[in-house]
Amino acid sequence: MQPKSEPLTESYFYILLCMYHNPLHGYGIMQESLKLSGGRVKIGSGTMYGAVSNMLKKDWIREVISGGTDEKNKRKYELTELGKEVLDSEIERLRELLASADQVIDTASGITEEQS
Amino acid sequence: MSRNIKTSYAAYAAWNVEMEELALNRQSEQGWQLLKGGCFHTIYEQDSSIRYIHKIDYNPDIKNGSDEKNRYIELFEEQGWEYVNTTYNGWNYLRKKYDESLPIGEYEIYTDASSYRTMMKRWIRLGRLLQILELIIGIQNLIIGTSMDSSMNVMMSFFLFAIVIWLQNGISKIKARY
Repeated sequence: MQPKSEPLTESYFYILLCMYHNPLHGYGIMQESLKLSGGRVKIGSGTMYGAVSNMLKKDWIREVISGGTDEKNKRKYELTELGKEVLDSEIERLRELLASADQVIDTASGITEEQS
Repeated sequence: MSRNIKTSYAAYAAWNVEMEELALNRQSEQGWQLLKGGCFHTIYEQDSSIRYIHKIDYNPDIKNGSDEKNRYIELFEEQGWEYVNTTYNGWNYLRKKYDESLPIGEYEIYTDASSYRTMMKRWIRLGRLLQILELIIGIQNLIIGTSMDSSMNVMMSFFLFAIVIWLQNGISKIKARY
């Protein structure tokens, strides 16, 4: 099934991206997004809860409860296969946008293709 | 050990959440800390040793004892927020210790416009339901009032229509802002 290629908000994009290789707590997602975006994208708790619960409903992510010796069984979240597809589609979409921009605008000299 | 407690009956509409948050912040600054928040009934406890910044979040999906509520509280506590209480109609009261060295961004819970709009849309849905309900009952009362010559029913219908307009005003205010 082709996932909907609807643009993701930056928060959604970073949340999915951060979980690409391993599951994370909400705090880890926030920290990682902040780091990757150079301090620009900070995901607040309200935004985070909205996104996480929405993604759980859509089956883009799933919960991983770290059971065992933790006093607090803090929740971790990981990408599902579908979530990974959604992220990959989004990255493709963004690449296409950038490629179009490069086609029209010669970013080195700022000259458009028509003028050159 | 006696606790100094006071109650406020100040009421705030859903589109004036920021006003209520400011009021809670001011109270906290003056040494009155939130014990339990509510639409028409707020309880404070005196404690001048601390100061908080407050946020009120509309989310009626957080039911007592549910997994969702635990998830919600966890995601807030992770970022330094303290969960105070949830009202019967889905408003969650949160607070964070005031630290003047922290940037103002640390006290925001919605950090992109889209997620804030999603949150407000939840309330607007409720607002619309209330409008429809009031409209139906209002029309019913108008019909009863005019057919049975009952001024009480006619007055009731106008009162209900006024509520519909008042809600519409509030919904428009929210939409205009975001």
